Amino acid sequence: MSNQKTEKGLRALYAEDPLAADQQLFGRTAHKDRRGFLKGAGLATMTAVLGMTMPFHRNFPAGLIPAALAEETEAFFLATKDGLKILNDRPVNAETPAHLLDDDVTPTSRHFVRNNGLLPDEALRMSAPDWTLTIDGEVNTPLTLTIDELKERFEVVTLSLCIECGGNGRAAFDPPARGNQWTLGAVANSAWTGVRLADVLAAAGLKDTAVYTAHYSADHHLSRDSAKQAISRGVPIAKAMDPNILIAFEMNGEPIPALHGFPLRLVTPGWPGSTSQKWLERIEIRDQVHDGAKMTGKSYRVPAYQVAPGTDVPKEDFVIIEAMPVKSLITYPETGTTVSTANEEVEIRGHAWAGDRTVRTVQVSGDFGATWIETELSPPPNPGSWQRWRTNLTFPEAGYYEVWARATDSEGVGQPFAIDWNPKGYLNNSLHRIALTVTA
Amino acid sequence: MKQLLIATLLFATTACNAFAEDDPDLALLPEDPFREDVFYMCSACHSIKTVTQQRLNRHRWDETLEWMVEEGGMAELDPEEREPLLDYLTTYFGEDAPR
Repeated sequence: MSNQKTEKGLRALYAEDPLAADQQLFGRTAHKDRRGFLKGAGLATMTAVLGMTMPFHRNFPAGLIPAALAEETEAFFLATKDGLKILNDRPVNAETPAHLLDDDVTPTSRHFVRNNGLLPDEALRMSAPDWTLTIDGEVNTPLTLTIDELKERFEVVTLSLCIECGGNGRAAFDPPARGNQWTLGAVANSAWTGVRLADVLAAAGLKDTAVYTAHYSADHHLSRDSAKQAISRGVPIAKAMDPNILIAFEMNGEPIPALHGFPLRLVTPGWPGSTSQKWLERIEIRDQVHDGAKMTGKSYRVPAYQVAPGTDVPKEDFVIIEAMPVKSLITYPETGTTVSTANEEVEIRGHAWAGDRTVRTVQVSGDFGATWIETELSPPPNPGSWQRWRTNLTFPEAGYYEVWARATDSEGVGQPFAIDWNPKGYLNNSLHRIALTVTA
Repeated sequence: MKQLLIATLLFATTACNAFAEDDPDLALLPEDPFREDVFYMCSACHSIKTVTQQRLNRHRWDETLEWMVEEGGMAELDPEEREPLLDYLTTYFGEDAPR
């Protein structure tokens, strides 16, 4: 972990004062033209860190972190995160404890990160003046637009949108499922600003042969094989025309951070987070179901029928996950805390969401599911957002309690108590339980 | 040309890191004569945390290696590498290993 601290420092130091950071970290002083290494100061250190010589060192700008180091330090963007649990640092994957997701609009510092590959250079530098988005394939008028052109040509909207990773809750699977072991916190509801995907597709003009979108991005495959994509998923055309899907360029009023897809990404509320392609460069409209990276095989797929835990299911029996199932989270109080004395009211609150549907009710139980009470449930501020629920509970005497929450969607489908097991560990929407201690 | 240079730089840095004996990620793997081999094979592409999160039986680890060769860009493993790798993964990150 000491490496992490040093490199966190590296980014922070360069952000604060790049020339001072050059001096402090490498002993570097640049020439008057702000390039190179004056009298070689710092060059030996930098090349030692890089592990090789820099033939063009005379041109190397002052105050710049070598791209190689910046790339190696992408995990250190995680320093901007507040209280997240880091599951993986190459690729970067981090989730948020439930009690830190209490805000109606998730602050950027508490939005989970699920990356499949390595950040593109534009994201590492947070500079992409030449970035374009191409729409092609089964369209009448292929488009290539800069981000400014997107803003000029289409209505810019801001929506609170709920993104949940398809594998959220995987850690509870038994037998275990392969992949990042997400517990509860691969879900968030930030404010995204962008243009509607539907408007852009309408401008391109979909042909009758259009079946599916195919999303392509600038991130690198973990193997660094440029012929491989880290991930390239899509959605059926009917979903692509959902007016709540954004091609976004801002998150919570700021340019989208590097880890979240700078400078451009899709935000597809209600469907697995993997359909919200980050670092978006191209949307191809296809005349068949897209077969890009992580569209095929068992990725983001579940068996077409229920299976007993541990079943080996043939590949051809898997179907693509579409809308995510109804779910709720208790975000206050924090599990494991001592909340009150007996007979005193305790506020219980959280969020609920339901894929392409809305949430009809959220109920809570303080007695292990024997009795349930209805909570106050707010409508979503806009379609695609999670919904706030809250209530008060009282506990009759001192001791150990659990609060359970269960949501029911607009079609009457509720959350199960047990996991509907599937081989790849997706769609765990079993009800959330927290532990509470009540004092005398 | 510039891209090639950057790619070379990146590759060299990655390789360089993988050989760092004091890489804190090495400590995430349980001591074993095969530990360093596992470390180098896996961390060439991804964090060791990708491995240590998993609890899979031998069959599913075998499938996982298969998948990494087919989809992940991993080189085909010789049986004399593959068998001890599977032994290691199943011993320390098997279905019943403590979390």
